[in-house]
Amino acid sequence: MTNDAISGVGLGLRSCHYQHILNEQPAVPWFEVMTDNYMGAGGQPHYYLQQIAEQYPLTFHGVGLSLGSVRPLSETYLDRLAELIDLYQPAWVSEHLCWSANTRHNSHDLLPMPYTEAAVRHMSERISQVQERLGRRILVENLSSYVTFAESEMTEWEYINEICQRADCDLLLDINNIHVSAVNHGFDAREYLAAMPMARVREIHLAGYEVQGELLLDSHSQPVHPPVWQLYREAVALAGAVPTLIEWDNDIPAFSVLEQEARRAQQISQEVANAA
Amino acid sequence: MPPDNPAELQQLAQFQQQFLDRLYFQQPLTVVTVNRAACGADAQQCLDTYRGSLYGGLNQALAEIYPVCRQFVGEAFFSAMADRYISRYPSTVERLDDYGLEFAEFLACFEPVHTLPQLPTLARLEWAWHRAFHAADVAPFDFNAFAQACQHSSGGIQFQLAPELTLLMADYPVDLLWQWHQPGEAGEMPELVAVELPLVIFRPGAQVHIERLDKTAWQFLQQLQRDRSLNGLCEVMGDQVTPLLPLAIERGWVSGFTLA
Repeated sequence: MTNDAISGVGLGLRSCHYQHILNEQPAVPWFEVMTDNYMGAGGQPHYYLQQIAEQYPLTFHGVGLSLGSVRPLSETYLDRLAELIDLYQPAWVSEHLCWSANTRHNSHDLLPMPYTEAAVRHMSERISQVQERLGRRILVENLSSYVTFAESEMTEWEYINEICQRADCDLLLDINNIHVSAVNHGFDAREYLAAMPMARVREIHLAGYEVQGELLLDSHSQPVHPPVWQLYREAVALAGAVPTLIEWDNDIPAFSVLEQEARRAQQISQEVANAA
Repeated sequence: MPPDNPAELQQLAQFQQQFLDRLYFQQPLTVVTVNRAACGADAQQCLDTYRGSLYGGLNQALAEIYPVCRQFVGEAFFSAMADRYISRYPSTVERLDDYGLEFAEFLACFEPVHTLPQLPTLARLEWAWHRAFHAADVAPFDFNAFAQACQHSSGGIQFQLAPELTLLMADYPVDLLWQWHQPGEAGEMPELVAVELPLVIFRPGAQVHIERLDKTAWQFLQQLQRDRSLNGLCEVMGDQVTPLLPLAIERGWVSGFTLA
């Protein structure tokens, strides 16, 4: 299946929906594949993905590269990622602006770092290394976060802009992450959005959060919340009809629920286009 | 782009060391100051949110690798046990799929489950199942090429075992216990009496197989794990190679061969 034309609202591919997708062949414009779920050599994950790749365009989304770590990038991981790219020909590859592992341990989680000039330089350098190794530009995704550091020298949106410019990479703009961080840290999500380098935004993510005590958690376990839909409307007005993805990773519902969320995103995108 | 400054990198490395030590082991984080969140959460609450996310993610990974152990002891107990494992064995692996290797060893020393002596072996079985599930796919055995190799260069034949094939000498009938916990299974729980039981876990096609072995088949596969050569196999197993080799190929324990 050719992957050079990704448009509209896609869905995150999850194993519990393999059979439904292959049996029903739903009208989904594209699927986003969690690359880390296919790092294994073979077996059922690849058996299903190969069949789905024959019928739908794909994009790759990773969580394991640990772009911001000080320890060297993993050659093993990059080699396998390159193999998977050759095998499945995704339209693009994205990762997170985060770190996950230090020299001893791995969190397998998306961790923040202080927004400093040193962090910008390090992250940009690592993204460039990845792009050179893969022979293609990658998209980097803005994080949701639960901490800020007194040592930060710039805002998150300045940090993202600097990195994208220096690494000359593209941006995956996660609208839910902006809202979650804005509520947790008390900044204006619209100011953040207005500062994004929209020409670099190739994809938008939408997901649901949970409330835990005073903090919002980026849990990907709920429908998209009303303030995130509103922010999405504003993002589309600024960025245009960027390919958008519905992400759902915990308490995954029936496929029809994801399709319903996708229809709503498509409707908002259309309404913004009509109003322009 | 200017290269990283070594002193700055050192600072960043120290931050990452302390940050993860805070999440895994609740060690103090001193190289940075975490702000109180605007939403009202204090610095410790903010950091504990990451700690909860880390432990939750690894706990979920263990639950997915060890679903039968989880059913056997109950979800709440498994989760508490997994948290103890995570703090004792923080992840050092690159891929989440590779996390949890030492779980059986941990269970063998975990005093609260000493009344369930089957549990460590059940965990070994599930780890082997997990590895086989993700193992590389294999092409069908090439009988024509094998026949030719036997005629012309049998001395150089090296066998390939199914990728990620595991031999497990179980001390309880954990294969029955595993089967009894699969969806759709009914009937009485198997009797869990101590018994020495040789098992092989591998994936010849789409499904992972858990099979019991007799003594000679166990010795045959053990020998192939030590030395893949046909010559070595014949030296150790003698005439038993004649019935066992076709069986091993038919079952899918042996998936191919190379010529040295």
